[in-house]
Amino acid sequence: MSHAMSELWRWIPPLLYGLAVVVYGRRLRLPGADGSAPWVGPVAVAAHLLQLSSLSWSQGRLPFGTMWEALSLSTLVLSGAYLLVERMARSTALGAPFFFLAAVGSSFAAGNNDPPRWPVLVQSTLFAVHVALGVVGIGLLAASGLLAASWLLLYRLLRGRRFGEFTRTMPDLATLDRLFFAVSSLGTILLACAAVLGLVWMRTFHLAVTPLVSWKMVTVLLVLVWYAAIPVLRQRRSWSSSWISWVGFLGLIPLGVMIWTGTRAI
Amino acid sequence: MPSERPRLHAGVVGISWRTAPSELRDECLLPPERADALLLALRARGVREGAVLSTCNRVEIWTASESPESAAEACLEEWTEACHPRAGWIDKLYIHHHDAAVDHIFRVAASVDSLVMGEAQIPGQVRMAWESARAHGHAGFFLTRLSQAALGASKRVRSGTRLGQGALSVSSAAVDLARKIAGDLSKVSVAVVGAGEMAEHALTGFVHAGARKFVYANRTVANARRLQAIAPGRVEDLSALESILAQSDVVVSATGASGFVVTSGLVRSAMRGRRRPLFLLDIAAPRDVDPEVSKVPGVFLYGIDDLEQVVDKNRLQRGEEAHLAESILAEELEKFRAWWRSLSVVPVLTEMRDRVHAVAHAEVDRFLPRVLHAQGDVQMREVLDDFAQALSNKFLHGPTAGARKAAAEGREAEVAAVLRELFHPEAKP
Repeated sequence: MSHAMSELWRWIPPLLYGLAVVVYGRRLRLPGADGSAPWVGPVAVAAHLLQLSSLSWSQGRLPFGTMWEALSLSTLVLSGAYLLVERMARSTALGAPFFFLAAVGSSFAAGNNDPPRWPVLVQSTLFAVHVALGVVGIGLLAASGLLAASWLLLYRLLRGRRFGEFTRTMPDLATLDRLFFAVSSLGTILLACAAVLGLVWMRTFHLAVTPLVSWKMVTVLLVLVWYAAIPVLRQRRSWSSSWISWVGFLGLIPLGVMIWTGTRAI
Repeated sequence: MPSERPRLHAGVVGISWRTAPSELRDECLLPPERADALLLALRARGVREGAVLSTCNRVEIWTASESPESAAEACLEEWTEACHPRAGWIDKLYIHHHDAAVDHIFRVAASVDSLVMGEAQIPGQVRMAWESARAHGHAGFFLTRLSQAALGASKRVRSGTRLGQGALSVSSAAVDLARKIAGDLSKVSVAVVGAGEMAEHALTGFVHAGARKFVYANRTVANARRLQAIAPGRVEDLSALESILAQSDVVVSATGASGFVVTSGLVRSAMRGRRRPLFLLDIAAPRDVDPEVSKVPGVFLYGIDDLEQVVDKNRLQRGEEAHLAESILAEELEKFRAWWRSLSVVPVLTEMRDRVHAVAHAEVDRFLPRVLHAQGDVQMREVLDDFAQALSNKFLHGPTAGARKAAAEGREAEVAAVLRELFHPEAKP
């Protein structure tokens, strides 16, 4: 593949995600919003999957040679999680924010085409599983943050008696709550497993803990503690969904810090 | 041989919610057997095709005939004969011919002319009317094409607009809101407080929406038991209201009490033991639920005014969507009219094709002996060249002579344009 073609290929997922933001955004205003889901979402996800697969195939390694590639994989998980949400909630109202986050994440990934620095390490199965679980976990936690934000928005709209078109097209509160809890729980478990495997991998290869790696560990721990609070809060036998959703939504901040630190840690 | 297919025109004779009260519409109803007999009678009187659309909101006879005016007269007589409606019923009828009739049928099928604009039943009813007419041999090529086009337009309107979306009654708005908060109603517990007519009405709405678990509470328990006839459920005294509130997801309150039945303290206490939201619907007059309740986190309190607000918004939205539906219908109507206009040249085209085939056969007969006696490729080529020359001369003789004559009469530009459009002389062979 020529250099120009390769450059173009890298930018196709963010461009398609951008297009999906426009299409899903327009559906909130234009007629037919309750009809069949737009094709652009699945196409963007498929193109992204194809891009990462071709990267993997052409370079003979897993598609996370750098943190940027890992970020790209996380956005793919986020978009895939959205398609699942769309199917389960039978609503396309959340497409725009999900694909916006995917567009931002994949744009950063496409714009930072560093040469891979992990190929040798990736040959360790332990490391490969650590990163794979980590990126899927991060993608799911980002998705849960957006679901929590959607729940809070719908809660306010309904309490404020604002029964407009947007309120009508949103999934119901119960479904948003259920999806948020399922997605955040799964994301937390996967990230916790990834963290443990990461530590095991470092001990196995006798890697030194640099200050940046320490920072990364702290941010991962912060994210895990943050999201572990959600099931604890849910155990309370009183109305706590608002609080839980705020925790889920604000969890995007430590998650962002963790990603930001992660892109610099190795 | 000229075509035997006549040039048909659409016609509609009907009565609907717009023009007549339901009692009169009921008198004019045409159930399937009666509709079949009426259509048979119409066809015996020269109406080529016919179909009957008979619903609770409208009864219409659609016809296809050479003269829609005569068809309308026949419809009036046969309809009167079939139903014997009260005197003066004819004043409540509407009659459409030609384009107006086609336009009307498209609007009916698209639910733009319905009592509840955008209702989903009418396309199915139109399809049934056409299928029944076709099964009995009353609908031919014209009404089939018309019905298909109208149903296609209806489908486009439904997928391209929000005409059929949003509740238009208070009870369905209540159900929609409950679904928005509690999700799948088959899995939630619905409590009905009170046992009057309003409570029954609300309960029926939730039963139709798929709710399965009910609790009935009333000051007089015996009255609450009456609700069990609508849907099975547990009956409680009003004194158990706090525990009912704690266990239910949806609570509809419609008692005749003069004061608040559901107080803020009661709801706060109920919410302490639960983490699910509580949907409270107060449809009583005077109110049953203390408005302060709406300040309790996790509680959604709505009244009749809120539901009417939802209905008004939906109605307004449907009105706005109607403009979009009209523009879609205009496009689809133009397609149908283009097809109908194209029918006018069908007889001429048929005659022309028959003539060309006759000429071609005559030339084949004339050249056949030469073809049979041709020896070698060169001779065969000469025969075929002569055959092609003779055939094209014969085909073009009529148009050439006609064009020269028209040009001589001063219509040279017109005839040149027609010839270019038909034969594309500039195109490469």
